[in-house]
Amino acid sequence: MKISRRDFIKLGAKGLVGGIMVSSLQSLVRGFAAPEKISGTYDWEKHYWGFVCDNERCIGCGKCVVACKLENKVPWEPEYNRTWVERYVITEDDKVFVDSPNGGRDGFAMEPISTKYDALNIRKSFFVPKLCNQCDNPPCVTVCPVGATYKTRDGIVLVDQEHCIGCRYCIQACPYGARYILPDTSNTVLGQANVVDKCTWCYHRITKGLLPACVEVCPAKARVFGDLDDPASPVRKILAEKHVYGLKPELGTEPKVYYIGFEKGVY
Amino acid sequence: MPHLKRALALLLLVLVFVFVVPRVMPTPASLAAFGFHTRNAEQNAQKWASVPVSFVSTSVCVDCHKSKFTLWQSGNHKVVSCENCHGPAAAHLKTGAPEVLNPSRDLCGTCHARLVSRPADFPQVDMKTMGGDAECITCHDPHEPRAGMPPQLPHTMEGRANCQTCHNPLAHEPFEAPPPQAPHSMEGRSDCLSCHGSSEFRGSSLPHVPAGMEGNCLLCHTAGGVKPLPADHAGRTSSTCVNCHRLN
Amino acid sequence: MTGFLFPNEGIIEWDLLIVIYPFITGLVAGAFIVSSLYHVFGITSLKPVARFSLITALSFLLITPLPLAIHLGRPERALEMFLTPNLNSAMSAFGYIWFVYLLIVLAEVWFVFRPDIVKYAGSSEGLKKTIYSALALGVFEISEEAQAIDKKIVKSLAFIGIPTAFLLHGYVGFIFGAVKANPWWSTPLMPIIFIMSATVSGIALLLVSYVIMSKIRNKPVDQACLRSLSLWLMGFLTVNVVLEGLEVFSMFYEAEESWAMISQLITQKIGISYIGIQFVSGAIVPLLVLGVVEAIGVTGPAKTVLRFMASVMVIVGVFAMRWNVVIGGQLISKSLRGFSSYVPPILGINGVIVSAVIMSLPFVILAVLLYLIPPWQDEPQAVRREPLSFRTRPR
Repeated sequence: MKISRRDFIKLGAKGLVGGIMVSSLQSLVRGFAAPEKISGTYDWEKHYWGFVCDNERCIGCGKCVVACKLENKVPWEPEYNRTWVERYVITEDDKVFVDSPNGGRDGFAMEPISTKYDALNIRKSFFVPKLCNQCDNPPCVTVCPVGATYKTRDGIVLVDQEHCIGCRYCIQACPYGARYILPDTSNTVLGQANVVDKCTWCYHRITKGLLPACVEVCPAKARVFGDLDDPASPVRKILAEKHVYGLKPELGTEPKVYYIGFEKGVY
Repeated sequence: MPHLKRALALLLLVLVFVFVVPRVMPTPASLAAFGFHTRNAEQNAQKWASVPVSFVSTSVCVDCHKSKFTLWQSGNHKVVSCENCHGPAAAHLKTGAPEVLNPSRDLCGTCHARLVSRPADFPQVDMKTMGGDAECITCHDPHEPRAGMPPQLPHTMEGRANCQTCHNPLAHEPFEAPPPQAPHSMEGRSDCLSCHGSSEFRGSSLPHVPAGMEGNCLLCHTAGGVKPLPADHAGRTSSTCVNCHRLN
Repeated sequence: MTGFLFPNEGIIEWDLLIVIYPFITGLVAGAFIVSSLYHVFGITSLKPVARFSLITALSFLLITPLPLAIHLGRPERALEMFLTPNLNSAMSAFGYIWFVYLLIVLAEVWFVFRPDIVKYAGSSEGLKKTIYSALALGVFEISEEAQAIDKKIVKSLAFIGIPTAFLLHGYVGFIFGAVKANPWWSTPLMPIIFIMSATVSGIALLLVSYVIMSKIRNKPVDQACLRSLSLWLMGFLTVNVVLEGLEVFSMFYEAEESWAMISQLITQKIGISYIGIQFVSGAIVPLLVLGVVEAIGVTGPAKTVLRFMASVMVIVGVFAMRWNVVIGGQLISKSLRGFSSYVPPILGINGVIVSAVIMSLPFVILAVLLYLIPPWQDEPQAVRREPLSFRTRPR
């Protein structure tokens, strides 16, 4: 004889009811706290941030990289970069050489970096600043198993470093190499280590009406920051006048860093 | 069957333990907010927004450094924020301790060393020859780098390899007097070369343009001609003009 | 490191620990498939290994989360995957799939071994009696009726266990296959390739373990069983080779921009591991050897030895495949202009020694299980004491 249907149903029902009762205690015990708004007068519904990088103006001084590391307490070692500068050298016989010594942190003007390609027959050479593209369709947000990385209402992709478990799936999913894992140091912005970190477009500055640190120090107007929702912002003006492109558009990530000065082979 | 009942009971016990108990137990602070993390977005964004700033932005410097600020605003370096060279100012605002800056050739060269990768219209110098070993600030005030410097060129060097073609009409060059004025108005005639061609064009009776002179014709062909070289420029050749007279 | 890497790519993030994880889950899935071939599809030639493969699957399954937990930057937050998952992420499925599959395998092991447990509970004393009684949940009824019900339950569990096993390993394949940023990983074939190579590795492991266990127990190898394992291995191996070959051939034929980097990767950077170990010694040669053994009438111990060697090569080949996917994919820079390099350290938490220890733990658990509930159903023989405590019990 099988276990009688009655017994089975009784047992199951007991378990189900008990489970529901016990799990609903959670809402009584906790009491959901109302989420706090960002302090001051900043309303994240009223802005949607955008960025422009001008490959035709960047002089490769690397001051942006230094400013970012100072502002955001990014580890000084070259493996950790929220932003970096790449140098592209195209020779007459169509060969392309790319480098980014220490992420461009020390600039490109000192030897041997400055003379590295002197022997080549160079047709064209330029710098490309790189940073997190704060994609509108971010693959990093999709793959985070615990939802620790998310997109804010004003278009920035942030990492909740108190919940990141350090699985590094987002680092694998980012097509632009914008993410890294914070090493075991104590001097980080939110005091967390062994979690994932990335450029935030200086969220702590832009919510106070300041510019990101890299934009603030750039001497060549190669980086422009502004509000895509505000027609008078410098970013909107550039988007209206110049021809811009995003990196790796075929992947459908919808990056929000717009580049002036398209060149085939810049990924 | 008793063993089935027992097994089912054990299974339910395990499920309750795994799925219900952790949700009810007091949780450590690190898992404080329950629910999907994206519901925490506003709180976490608030955390990120509350990080203190280090770079304060240049507009703050004027409060104390008025004369320096005014000088800086008047020169070419007004596009370079104070904090670019002097570093983040937040700590300086708190303690008042001056920022230490080493004004080496390397510091200036970070931006101004001639590199093929830099845009051609950006002011660059060959760091190996310009100024020898002296610090750049020996001649250039870093807050107004063109103070005391010769005037900059008002035009590009395209098609103008030999400066003395226009600027030293008394030397052994084609013009012995200021070039003539254009004998017709420029209405509807923006492209001089479309009629006057270059030196290869022989068929027309119109005066042709000599080789190397395909630049902006109107610069010379106006009333008054062009400025001759000043007396203290004796002996200088065209190749050195651009060393001091940077392009604008 | 050659060419240009993005500055943040200086460190290989998913290292040796992440290579051994799919290897271990693959063995689980493969061993379970063998067990289900008997319990669901009634392939009686596999009866001698059916119960053994079940507890092999369980042993490896229990170790599965270990390399993952160790690899996390913040292992103390690992429970978040259970409690607050982001269900858009394939990785968030891990906790639930693993847990459900664990329940299925535990339940199936319990129902299959229940008669044995009850018998041991009756015939032992003291601590052992307590252990066996607890395992039996205090119920000692093994009537014909109960056993008939148990058999039905086992069949259902084995039946739903097959898609769950596929899910357990398929989701790993999807974790890699769905990453569009990585041209070596991104293909819809990845989950299927992982499942097929998992099955292959599991069957090969069983073949190897069965031969070794027979040697240890000094019992003759059931040749029909070995042949069956060998044939199933050949079948899945063929499908596996075709799929893996198709994946690369497609990339070569379509010649997308990334092909320039991928061709360099598989011919130079991981050339030996990919062409040499994964394909040639891991698939082609074993297929030939096993095929030859079937085709020509090889007799005697040579048959067993050849099948054994072929299976060992297959297992190594599948490990190489995991390496080639996990490490190989990270060697290509996302700038599509350079390659990283990776040599695992010997010491340290993500070193070779730790990984070797993790790989050996399932065998420790297996040894314990073999002691507690020996799966062998031989004809009754005189009891012989062996140096290791793998004893057959009188029935």
